[in-house]
Amino acid sequence: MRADILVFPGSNCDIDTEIALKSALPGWRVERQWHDGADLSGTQFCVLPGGFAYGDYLRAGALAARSPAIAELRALIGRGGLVLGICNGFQVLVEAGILPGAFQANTVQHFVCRDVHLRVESRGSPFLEAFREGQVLRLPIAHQEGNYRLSEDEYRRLRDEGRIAFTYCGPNGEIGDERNPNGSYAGVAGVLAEGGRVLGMMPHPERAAWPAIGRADGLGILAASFGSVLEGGKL
Amino acid sequence: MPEFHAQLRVRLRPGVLDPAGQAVAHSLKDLGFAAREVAVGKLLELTLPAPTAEAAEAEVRRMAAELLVNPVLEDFELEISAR
Repeated sequence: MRADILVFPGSNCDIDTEIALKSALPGWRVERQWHDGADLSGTQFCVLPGGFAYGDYLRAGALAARSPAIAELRALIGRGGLVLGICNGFQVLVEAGILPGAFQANTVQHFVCRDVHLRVESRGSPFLEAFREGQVLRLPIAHQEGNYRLSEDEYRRLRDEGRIAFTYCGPNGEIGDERNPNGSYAGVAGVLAEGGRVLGMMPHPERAAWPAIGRADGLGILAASFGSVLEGGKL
Repeated sequence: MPEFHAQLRVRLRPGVLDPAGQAVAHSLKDLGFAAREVAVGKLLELTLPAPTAEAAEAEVRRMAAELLVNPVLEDFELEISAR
């Protein structure tokens, strides 16, 4: 089994992600692939890491979303592969139209770097099978443009289809504006593509994948029950 | 083939929250200026070859749709001039 991390000029969480994936997926070949000439044909799982791909010029994620590597990514999605976009990677997936919505600057008008609590809103994804619905996770965020915009109709559709993955919340799962760190619509922190095999999320699971320091909530996302999903597949 | 110069003024759609505009308005107020409804947008300029101004405009509109403008949040005005 192989997991690849797509690296763009300006990606800066790729090595952290590689280290976390190696620990989360023992026995997997985990590699970073430079976007130019990336070959995902032998890959089952691809992560778009955090950072500032192409300096976030034009709009966050906009230029990376038009790079040839994204054609490789679409092919992987087409054959049922798993894709996780973390932070800037989520922005790239949205700019590519693989996930709905758009991103704006945080309503608080500055970079936000701190721990947040997240409520798991769905189990309709291999990335979320380790959790129960309503479970509260604690993960760090670090972004300037994490204000995720959805129309009310889009939000309702995603919610009805079980495609809202996470909502920002308080330590006991409380939802509300005061728990929303960046102004995202309805406090949405992560969404799924149809079928649940593509997840985009602003918080960083790779920065909380270490039981030894008491920060392991991200591990369940990275080490999702891929075995059962991919078993017998022709990926 | 003749060349044309294109200027795209990209701005947030009406009703879309503009945190950058708000921040700038706040600083202007601190400096004692009376400015309301500050909006921060983007100016993109490019030169392209095209047989006519109409063709140039059509091409830049395609660029806007495919990359330069995010239609979910942004509007744009386009000006084409001969070089």
